[in-house]
Amino acid sequence: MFREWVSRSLQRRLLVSLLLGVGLSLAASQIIVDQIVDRYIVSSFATAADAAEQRDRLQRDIDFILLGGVVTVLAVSAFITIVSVRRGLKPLGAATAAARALSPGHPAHSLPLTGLPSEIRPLGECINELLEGLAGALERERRFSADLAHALRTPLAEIRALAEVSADERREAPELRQFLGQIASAAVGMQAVIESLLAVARADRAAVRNALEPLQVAPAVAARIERLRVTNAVDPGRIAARVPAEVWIQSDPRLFDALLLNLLTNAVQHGDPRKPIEIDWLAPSGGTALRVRNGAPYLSPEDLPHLTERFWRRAEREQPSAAGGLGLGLWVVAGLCRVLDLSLTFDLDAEQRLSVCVGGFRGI
Amino acid sequence: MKLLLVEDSARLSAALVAGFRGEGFAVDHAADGRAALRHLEVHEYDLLILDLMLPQVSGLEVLRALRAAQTPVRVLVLSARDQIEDRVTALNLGADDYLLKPFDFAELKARVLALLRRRYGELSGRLTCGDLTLDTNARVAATRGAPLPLTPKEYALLETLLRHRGRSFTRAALFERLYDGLSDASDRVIEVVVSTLRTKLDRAGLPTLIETRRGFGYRVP
Repeated sequence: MFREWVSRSLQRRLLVSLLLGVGLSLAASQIIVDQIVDRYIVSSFATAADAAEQRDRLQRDIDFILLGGVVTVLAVSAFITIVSVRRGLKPLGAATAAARALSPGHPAHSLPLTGLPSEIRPLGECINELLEGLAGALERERRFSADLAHALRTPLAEIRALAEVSADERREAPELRQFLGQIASAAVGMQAVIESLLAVARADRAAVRNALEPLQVAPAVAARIERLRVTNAVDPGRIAARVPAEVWIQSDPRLFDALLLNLLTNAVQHGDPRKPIEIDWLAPSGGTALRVRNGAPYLSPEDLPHLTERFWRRAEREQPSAAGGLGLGLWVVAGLCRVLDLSLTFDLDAEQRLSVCVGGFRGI
Repeated sequence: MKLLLVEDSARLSAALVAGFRGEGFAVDHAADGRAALRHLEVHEYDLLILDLMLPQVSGLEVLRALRAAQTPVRVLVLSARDQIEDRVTALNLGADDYLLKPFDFAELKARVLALLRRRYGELSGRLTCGDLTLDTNARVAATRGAPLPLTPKEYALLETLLRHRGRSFTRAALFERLYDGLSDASDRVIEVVVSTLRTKLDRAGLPTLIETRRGFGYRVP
């Protein structure tokens, strides 16, 4: 439909232009012929009557030739115009058909650019770039949804199985209490996944307008450890926090807390449970940094670049963990660092201790 | 019936072990693929419940090793991986069934029982011996239509002997089939279970169902 409309519209315009041109040429030719006849032919006859008769005859012949030629030219031109316009618009028709085949479910197609008129080609290229970006974004989201569904299936299976087994009337009270505790723990795990994702989503939205305010680091760290202790997520005796009381920074308290939560949860879930988790405030030359260090016997230096990938876990080496980390914590940390304009570095020392350093805080 | 549960989630394992033990199964648990392979080298299992994403050695590698060694154990894969290709790969590698997480425990139990029936060539889900009938789906016994109340271990012992009629089982072999690796009991507990079972069968009018063959063990002729 679109293609037909375009071609017909163009054809109409071209035909009108052609007719106008031919009409104007005809009028101009008529004037020129009159001038020639008057100046060179009429003057050569002896009598005015002969001259008038000869002039009329000559003029009729010329008019006939001109009109016939014009009609012929017009017909041929119209035919050529229609054929050339249709041929010229054929690539546009193919692009229209390809565009019609695009759908939200299949955005990976691109418009065919071969044969497109040079005036339309840049537009096609722009649309293709847009489609490519859209397809990439949709694929990433599809993969993320699949990963997330996978990540939530296990805690959901835990909750269902524990609840169903608890329904057996032969269960004793201590066993039931233990199962209920495990259900609560699995629910906390699911909550952590959802909160982590929300933290990044909100942070992305607030990227340019996060409100920085004075924040005392030591109490913020202590409060976060206490909240983790209350939810049984961590044994506070395992954490050694060494942050001087006088350290104040400019930061967004909510995002800073999310940063701490994910740093510590990651250390608890993926770190060596026999080794302490150390939190230190460092003051490298001209800057400030928060370092969280934990034992990581299953990591190798080659793993460090992967630590901020979503759902990445050193699965084939990692010890079985009741905490059930999903591999989201450091991805969230990286997202928060980006929003807060902080640096994030990793280091694995000779004693197999992983240091996660968040730097670039604005001191007060 | 003895199961091996290979699952790295401690919470899910706790629930499943408790659930299957409550049904009278002996259940061993391995938290990673390597431990699963060690269990399979040492013990004989009727069925393996296998997660795919395992630390150290993946579930698929366990399956591959198992089938390469031509171990006849039935394998039910229990996984959060929901893609068609994951299921196809697992089934092609020799899994007998594939159940997606989260699942209903009743469905898991039904699938386990179906696989066990298939393993022992049963079609009806019933084992009969004279007046005695075992419903292997409901895991209950009856004599002449009247319920015969049995403990899970008594039922499991009777089911084992009926499934392998004519075959003698030593005390140690029965202990191996009926108790999991973490059990504190010794194989003498089998004598106690046989004794209580015989008493119940005697009361139900089946005094000679379980024979003792000196030097060979127990059997149902």
